[in-house]
Amino acid sequence: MLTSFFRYLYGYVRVRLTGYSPERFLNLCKAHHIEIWDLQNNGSYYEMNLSIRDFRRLKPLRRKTKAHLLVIKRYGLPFFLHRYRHRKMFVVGIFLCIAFLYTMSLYIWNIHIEGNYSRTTNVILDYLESENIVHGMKKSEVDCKEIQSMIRIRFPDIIWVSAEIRGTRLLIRIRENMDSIPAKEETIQEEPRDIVASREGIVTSVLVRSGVSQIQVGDEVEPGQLLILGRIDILNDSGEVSGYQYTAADADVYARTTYTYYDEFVLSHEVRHPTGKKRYGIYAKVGGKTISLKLQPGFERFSVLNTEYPVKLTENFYLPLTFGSTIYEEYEIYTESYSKVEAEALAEANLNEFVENLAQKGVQIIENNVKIEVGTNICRAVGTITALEEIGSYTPTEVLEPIPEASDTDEK
Amino acid sequence: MNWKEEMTDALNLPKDLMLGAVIITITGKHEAYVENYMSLIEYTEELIRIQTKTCKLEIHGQHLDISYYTNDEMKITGEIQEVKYC
Repeated sequence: MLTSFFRYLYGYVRVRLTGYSPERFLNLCKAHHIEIWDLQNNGSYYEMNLSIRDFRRLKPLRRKTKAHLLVIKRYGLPFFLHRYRHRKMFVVGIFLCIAFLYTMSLYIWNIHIEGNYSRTTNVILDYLESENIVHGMKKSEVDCKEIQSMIRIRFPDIIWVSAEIRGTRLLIRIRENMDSIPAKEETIQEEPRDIVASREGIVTSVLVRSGVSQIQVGDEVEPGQLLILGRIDILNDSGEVSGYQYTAADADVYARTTYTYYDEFVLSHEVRHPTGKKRYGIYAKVGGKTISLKLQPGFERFSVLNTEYPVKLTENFYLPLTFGSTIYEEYEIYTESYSKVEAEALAEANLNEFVENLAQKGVQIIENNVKIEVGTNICRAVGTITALEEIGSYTPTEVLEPIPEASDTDEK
Repeated sequence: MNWKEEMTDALNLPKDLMLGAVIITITGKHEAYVENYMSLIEYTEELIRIQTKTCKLEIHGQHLDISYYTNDEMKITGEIQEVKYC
């Protein structure tokens, strides 16, 4: 392999040898340390390979043995260069290409982030961008250690970061804390607070963990009414209030509440009917400017649908260039009227949405007394919904003046 | 055996150096390496005759080629049928 490489580098020729005594010629070559390879006998003539340098030394041997040599083919770099000696720009191009590749290899072309689940790649990339770690920056300006500590400080739930430059890629591997998704911190309420009713209703259950209950099961409460008091009276031996102790009231107060539901809509409504006529346009956004190739749709009423294709060079390297296509679709407006069945279905859908919203808030629906009526022009859904829900909401406790301890001093 | 051979044998010296003996390494049927020779006497497709220091060497075969031919060594490829000392 190495031999053939050097033979190519220095160049060699294949020659055809004819004459009186080829063996003598070969032996003379050997004696003059001329290397011959791939020697082949084809009956009347011999063919062999010789290096260029050796070929030039053959002249006296040829004369001595009266051998006739004919060059059949030339191989190697010197012949190649000689053949293309006039193509100077080609060589320049090769060097320019090498220089270009080298220059380009000095920059970061791709930032690859892996191992992130809850933090999206875009969030991390945006943060890195704000710290001037961007695509196209110089590789020498990247400080991997700095990036690691920056990410760990900015995102506390990322427990392990490794930043590494491989080629022209900046690889950032992170490990998020999967075990304990940071639970909502149960702020231990130290401030004294009361619990008041947020809605009107009849109390169905009271569970007090801290504070003094002011209500009983079965009581009717008004919004804003005090349910649990965060102030505990301290009684002295004679049963008089001698002082107060404040606490953060904590209780589950459930009550039966009612919601009135009212929904009304007109049966006649406007419907958009696409006519099937469409117009297309394309546009490109360069930086902040938009170059568009739009035909004016020429429609009276139309909807517009834009689809954008951002151009990216590598995985996450978005160029400030976006291509987009626009579709204009013509439509006409007709006034239609819901049928009875349609109107009922629509009213029911609205009601279901309302109920579902309540359920998401943790409200338990007990009774649903909504009636849907379809008139000639109007559809109306009216009724009440009875529900069971927590009605407690927190307010700060009013702090009373401490009772002067005058009576205590008198006893002495 | 003359005294020179006896000496070489007794002193355990390499025979190719002391006696100028030819070394032929034949790998399978198609490759032969010849060292310690003097010159090529005849070369055709069927026969290669080599002059060594002590004797002549004939290699008979078909389609014999010389892959390389240098001062120290030559490599013969082709179908080797017979190797003969004369």
